[in-house]
Amino acid sequence: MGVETLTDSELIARVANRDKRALEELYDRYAASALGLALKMLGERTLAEEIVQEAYWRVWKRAATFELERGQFTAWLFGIVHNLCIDEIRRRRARPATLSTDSEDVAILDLPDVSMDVPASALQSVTGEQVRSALSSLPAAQRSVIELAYFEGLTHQEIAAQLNEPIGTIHTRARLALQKLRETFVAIHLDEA
Amino acid sequence: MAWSDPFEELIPIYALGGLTHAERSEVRAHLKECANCRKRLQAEQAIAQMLPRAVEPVVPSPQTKTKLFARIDADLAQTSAPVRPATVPRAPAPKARRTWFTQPVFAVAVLAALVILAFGAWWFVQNSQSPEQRAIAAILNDPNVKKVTLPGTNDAPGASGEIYMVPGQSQAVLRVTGLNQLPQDKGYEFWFIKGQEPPQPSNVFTVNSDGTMTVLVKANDQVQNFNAWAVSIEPKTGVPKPTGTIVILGGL
Repeated sequence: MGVETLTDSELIARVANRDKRALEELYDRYAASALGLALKMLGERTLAEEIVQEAYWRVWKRAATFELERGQFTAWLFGIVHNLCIDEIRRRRARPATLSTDSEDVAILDLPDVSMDVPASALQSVTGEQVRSALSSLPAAQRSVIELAYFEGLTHQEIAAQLNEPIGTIHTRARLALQKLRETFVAIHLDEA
Repeated sequence: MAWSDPFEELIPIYALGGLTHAERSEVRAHLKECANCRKRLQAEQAIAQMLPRAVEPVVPSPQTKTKLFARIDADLAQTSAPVRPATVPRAPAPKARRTWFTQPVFAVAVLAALVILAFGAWWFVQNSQSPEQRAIAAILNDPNVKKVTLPGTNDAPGASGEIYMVPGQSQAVLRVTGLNQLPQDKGYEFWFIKGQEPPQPSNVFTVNSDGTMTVLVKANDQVQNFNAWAVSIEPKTGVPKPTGTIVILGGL
């Protein structure tokens, strides 16, 4: 049986046993999405490609530490890419070093588990177009917090300074934005069920 | 909204990556102690992790994949010991009778031992990279790295090679594909060629079962001063000048 027919979970278990073909299949499946994220965050193609290469290298070296029952492979991969990009953005701004160490990589703690309040199936069925639509339907003030924090790598203090708002307001907007997105994703799932 | 726990206020912005390194460490320390915040974070993370889907995919250049798998080939060549397999989900076990080793104290002790073992294994993996692996990674990640493609000869039309070099260095990364495995007394020898001078011998290597290999090759001069490179089949001990079949040959 070729690796093309295997699930992500089966592939990552093989990568943990140093199966290069399994990693290549995961690369072929998700490297373009990973590069899309890195490019949006960094805006520089060469650097973004290096981030993707480094992220997959970390997957290769640490696959054995990934617990399949705790989350999806894509959440882990994109989390690594996101953290590497944030480190790069802040390094370029010459702020105190925040280079990712192993403990700073996406921890298992950060991966959603089965006890979370939104069923995993509700999220899996949501498409990229639906996520874009959900984002664009957020109030502008909430959307800008998501954009500045998640995609531009700003800290909450930097966001507060940029928007000229108290830091507590930024925290509230982040909470409300995630809450609204959650409600939208659940509604999409229920509509399609 | 009033927050019952000061850390709880930080959870959504933490999930979005909006905390500093120091703040993140503080929250992480708190999360180890607070089940409520852990649950809250998992819920927020589940939503934040949907955000990459909003981004249009961009296909990486072939060089990114080549560099990645050159590193992996080098890693495979250096370490053959299998790593602990990932935890595979399995059906819940039937409830066992409660004995001394199912007591919470024993579970905590076992958990602590596992954490120490896991940390030891992680430390070993991180620190077991050989100097050659580190040199290969440094060259492949150097912003000034240059690549030269070396085609297979008529004797090995399915073979090819790539040389990755950094100006000013006397070593480079060679990645080969499509080479056959050789008898035990034979090896592939790499040659640096400069004009009409005799070829300069370098490493003798073998290939993986899939016909690939990535090695660090060393010369007695800066690599960019050579204008051709070759691979030939020779005795495993190496020879001072090519005697066997040349399988890869190319230059600038």
